[in-house]
Amino acid sequence: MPDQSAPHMKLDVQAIDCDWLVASGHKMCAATGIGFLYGKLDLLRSMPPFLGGGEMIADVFLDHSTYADLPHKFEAGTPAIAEAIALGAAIDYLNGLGMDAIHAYEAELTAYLWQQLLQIPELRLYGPKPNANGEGRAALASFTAGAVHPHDLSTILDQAGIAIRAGHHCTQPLHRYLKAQSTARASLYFYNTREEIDAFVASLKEAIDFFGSIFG
Amino acid sequence: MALDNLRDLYQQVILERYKKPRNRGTTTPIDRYQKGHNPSCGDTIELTLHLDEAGDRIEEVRFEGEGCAIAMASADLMADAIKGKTTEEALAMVQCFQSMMKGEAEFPTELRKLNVMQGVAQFPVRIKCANLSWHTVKAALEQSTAQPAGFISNE
Repeated sequence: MPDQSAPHMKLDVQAIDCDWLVASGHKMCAATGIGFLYGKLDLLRSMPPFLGGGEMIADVFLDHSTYADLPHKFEAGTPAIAEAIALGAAIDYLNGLGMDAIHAYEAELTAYLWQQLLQIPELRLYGPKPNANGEGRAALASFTAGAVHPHDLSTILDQAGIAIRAGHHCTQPLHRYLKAQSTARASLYFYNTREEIDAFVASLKEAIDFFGSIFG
Repeated sequence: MALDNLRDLYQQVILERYKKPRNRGTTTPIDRYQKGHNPSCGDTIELTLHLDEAGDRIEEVRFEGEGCAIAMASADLMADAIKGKTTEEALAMVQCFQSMMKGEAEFPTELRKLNVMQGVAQFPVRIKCANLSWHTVKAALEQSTAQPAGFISNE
């Protein structure tokens, strides 16, 4: 189960009853180059190591070896020590803010963002709309903006100090299915504000007008 | 907003070519064919060339594709610029364009129209947009037949 939700809400792997869960550190205020994998104990026990190296062995002989217990069996070699400490600090920080509080605030921002975007007739918004409370979808919006190509839009917004993502977002087959050559995506996190959404929407409208005037 | 800064990037010529490209389509006959794409942003171009009988001079250049203003305008300007040039001259222009994107060169007077793309060099993430058609024409000219050689990737 690939997971983008860990940075945004409380997750209980036992309640979900998932076999696996992964998350990336850099999407939750930690450094790059680290993430974590949760797996059910019986599944992890049943699997052989995928990599040899320091710390993952118990006894080594010339003709056979035995392996260390979990999780060391899967953590061969020198670990990403600094990154692991940074991830730990990030998790402590997020827990300090409270995952429920983060989720509630993001839902509020989501409702506001979509309320603003739905008023711009040139936009095509992808994915489910949030309900009135901003629930029912992640705190982001993927869209295309009429004559403004997503890459041109991202440069224009960048000049206004607003970072969005433009392109395929690692989902080429989905874009093909949607018949969208590429899309723009504005993503929110707990450090964003309503004022920033206002600034984004204002710049987005300017960009649409700028290109709209050319295609008149 | 910072639209004023963007005038450097979105020069009038670029916007006009994006709106009304002059070299869209497919050549007849097709002597060289090459697809190019920027996988991360989704921009694609299908370039066709018509060469003279000796196979050395570019008679006609056409492109189809989808992409941002920079990529499409660059393709249209490129098509104009290499029309009538020999393969060797066109390949030298590819090199000049790529140097221009590094801020290291510009085109001489007779090709100065291409210098409108100079502003792109100030926007590093957009250089690959401007370069896409030039990468693609280079691949097309380095072939010896009209057989497509698969996608040329710009990354």
